[in-house]
Amino acid sequence: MSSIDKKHVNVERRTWDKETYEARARSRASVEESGDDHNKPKAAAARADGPSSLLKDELEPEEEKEEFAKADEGRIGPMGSERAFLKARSKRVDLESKVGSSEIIDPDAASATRAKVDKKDGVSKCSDGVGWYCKVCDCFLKDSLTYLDHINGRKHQRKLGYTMRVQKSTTDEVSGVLQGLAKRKRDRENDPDREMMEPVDFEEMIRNKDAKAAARKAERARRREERKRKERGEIPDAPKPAPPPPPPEVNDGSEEEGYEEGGIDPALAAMMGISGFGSSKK
Amino acid sequence: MANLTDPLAAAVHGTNPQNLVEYITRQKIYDSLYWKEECFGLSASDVATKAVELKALGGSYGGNSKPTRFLCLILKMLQIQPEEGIVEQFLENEDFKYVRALGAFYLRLTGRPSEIFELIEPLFNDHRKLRYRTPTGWVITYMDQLADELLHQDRYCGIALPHLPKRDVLETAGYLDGPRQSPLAPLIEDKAGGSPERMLELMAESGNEAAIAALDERKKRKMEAEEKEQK
Repeated sequence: MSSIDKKHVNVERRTWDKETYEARARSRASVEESGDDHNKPKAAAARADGPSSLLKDELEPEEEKEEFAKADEGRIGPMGSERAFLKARSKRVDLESKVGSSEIIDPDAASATRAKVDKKDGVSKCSDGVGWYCKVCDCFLKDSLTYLDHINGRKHQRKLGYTMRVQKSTTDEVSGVLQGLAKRKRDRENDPDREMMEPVDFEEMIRNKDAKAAARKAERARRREERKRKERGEIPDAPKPAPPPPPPEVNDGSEEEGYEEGGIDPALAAMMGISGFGSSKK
Repeated sequence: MANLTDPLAAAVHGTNPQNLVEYITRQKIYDSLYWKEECFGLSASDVATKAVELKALGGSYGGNSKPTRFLCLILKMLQIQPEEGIVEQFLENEDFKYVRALGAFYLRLTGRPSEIFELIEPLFNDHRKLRYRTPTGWVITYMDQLADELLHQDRYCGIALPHLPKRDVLETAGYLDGPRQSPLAPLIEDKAGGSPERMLELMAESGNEAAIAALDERKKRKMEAEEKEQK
């Protein structure tokens, strides 16, 4: 049986990375001994398929997001409250890092709002949901705006140990802040290392932009010509259709491309017997 | 919740300070990304830091009535209600013009009439340009134009301004000390002994076109007044 000839049979036997699986088994064993441990880093855990992706997530624990950081112990708060004053985030919330990426998900996962933390073989299993996951409140949020609403909301902040009230600033603080910013601005302007910008010449800028646009169109036309030449080379019997007239300056380049890629050139089509939508009857 | 006014804040013009911004505009601000991402948990000094990065004034713009960052910061200030000293700091800051504009607008919304006149009139001497985002595009305005609009118009940046009594009403009632002191007054004292007409004549002699035109205007009006009296 020569499996090499058949296309759809696994040619090689499946192999596993023994070391990583050994490590997992050991950690599982230690967890069983030490009892429950909820603070495992988030892992797209025991999925039956795709062991590679599983391993990657386990081995790279999630960095602490600022929106999940608990309040420090000694932080001051308002009178009569055991929680700390609300503070603004210093870093941007990560909303866009996964844009354009694709993930395979469970159909049940799409509607999951909570991560089911099952105990299977002592390893906590986090079932996938879709969207942003808040590990403090154990919920999935499907929308960037609702995610922001959630992390700005009372429940979440209370779990982190913050109250919703902001500390009042004094006049001196504000005056200090403004002076500091003014000084920084002045330093930036007087910085001797800063390159002196040349006075802007608008005419030149416009000329440069026009030249670049023209260059781009020429590039596109050239590439189109090359592509057509290749096609012609592959179909030596078909008559060479007349090349379209060179695009006038005013025309948008995209119009030509659409025309070309949309259908077969009419002369070629006629030759092949496809004469269009009209019928022979009058 | 994140959008509630500070519980220690006092009522302004009889209501919750945030109610100075109309309901729909307010909701648009609450739903905007800038408010949720960057205006969360700001104290007055944080607002100052954000205000320094402002690049334009404006109310809502675009088909969607998207609020400008300026408007978001105004609502933030209404929410946290900074003390008077802080607002004055914003207003008197010469380094950052949009911070100044923010302070002026906030004062106009929440301040007492005498304070408004006293603190906004110095802005007449600031001639810097400001970018104003209208619902359909951009416009250049000036700080002194901003001051004039704040003192004399009903609405600015899409917000209805609280009623401001006229200046002479406040003067007769004793809240203000007298008519507005023009910064030209000491100059006129110096050169023309306190007489504005003499000052105009001096300027016309030195070739100032506007002064010549103004003198002609006055002469014309005097002649017309005399003709009327004769009739």
